[in-house]
Amino acid sequence: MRVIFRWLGAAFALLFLASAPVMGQLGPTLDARAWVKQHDRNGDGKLDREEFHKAVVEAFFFRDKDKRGYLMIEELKEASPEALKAVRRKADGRITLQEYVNAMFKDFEAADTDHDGLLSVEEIENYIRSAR
Amino acid sequence: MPRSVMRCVAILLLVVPVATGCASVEENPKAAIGGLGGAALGGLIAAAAGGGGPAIAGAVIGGALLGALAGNMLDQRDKRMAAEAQQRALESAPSGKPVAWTNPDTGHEGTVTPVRTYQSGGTYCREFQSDVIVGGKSEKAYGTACRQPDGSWKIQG
Repeated sequence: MRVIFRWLGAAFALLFLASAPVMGQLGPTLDARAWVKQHDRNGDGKLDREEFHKAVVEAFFFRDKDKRGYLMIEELKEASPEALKAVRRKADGRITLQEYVNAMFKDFEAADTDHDGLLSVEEIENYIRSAR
Repeated sequence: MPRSVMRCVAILLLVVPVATGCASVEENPKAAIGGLGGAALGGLIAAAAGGGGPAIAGAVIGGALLGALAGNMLDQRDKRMAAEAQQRALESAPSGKPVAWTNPDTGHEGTVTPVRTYQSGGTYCREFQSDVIVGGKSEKAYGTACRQPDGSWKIQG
């Protein structure tokens, strides 16, 4: 019985870890408030382009399970609309970091409705709702 | 002071720097102090037991070597724990989240915190901050490590 509980514990821990990279995306299940808080280095409550860029690169790193330096479409579950569009356009079905960053900045511009170069929690939540 | 003790001290002064690999207190305090303590203890025990010059010299050398070795082993455990924390931090911690290590034997502790992630020529690299607390004093260091094909992280520079 103890062995079964240990296995169940390990399975829950793995599930939690596996879902962690999703936090780094503008995907449909993103907790915008937690994501902004995690990457808001200057503490202004919003993400500027530099903070966003760092967050996106890190998201790519954690999504890349095999650390091959690129992502396959199956590694882009719950990803942002632009990231999915970018990988679907590729014949080899893989997306490099640069392509991913470019796609994510299209999301940034689309989400930044007041065009101040900063993403607020509300802007991200509105963008996620509109993308569903 | 008995002649045997004087002889012991003289041998100790000659032998300890050699036995500890000339480790200075600044460079490797545990090895130096361990070597000195081991040598003194070995020499005094031999002298108290009525041993002659060669016996005292042998005990001093043996004590110094054992003491220095014990000092180095503890240092290595600190280093090994810090290296393991570094590997965990670089591989799986988000930037800004510290991964801690503590050596209960020495009381030394530290954290490794990834700061930034980037790619260089298709290889992942991460900048990190390392904090070590020794004797209540905190030391900070910054570094960059790049991921190797075998999954290890190699410190750059």
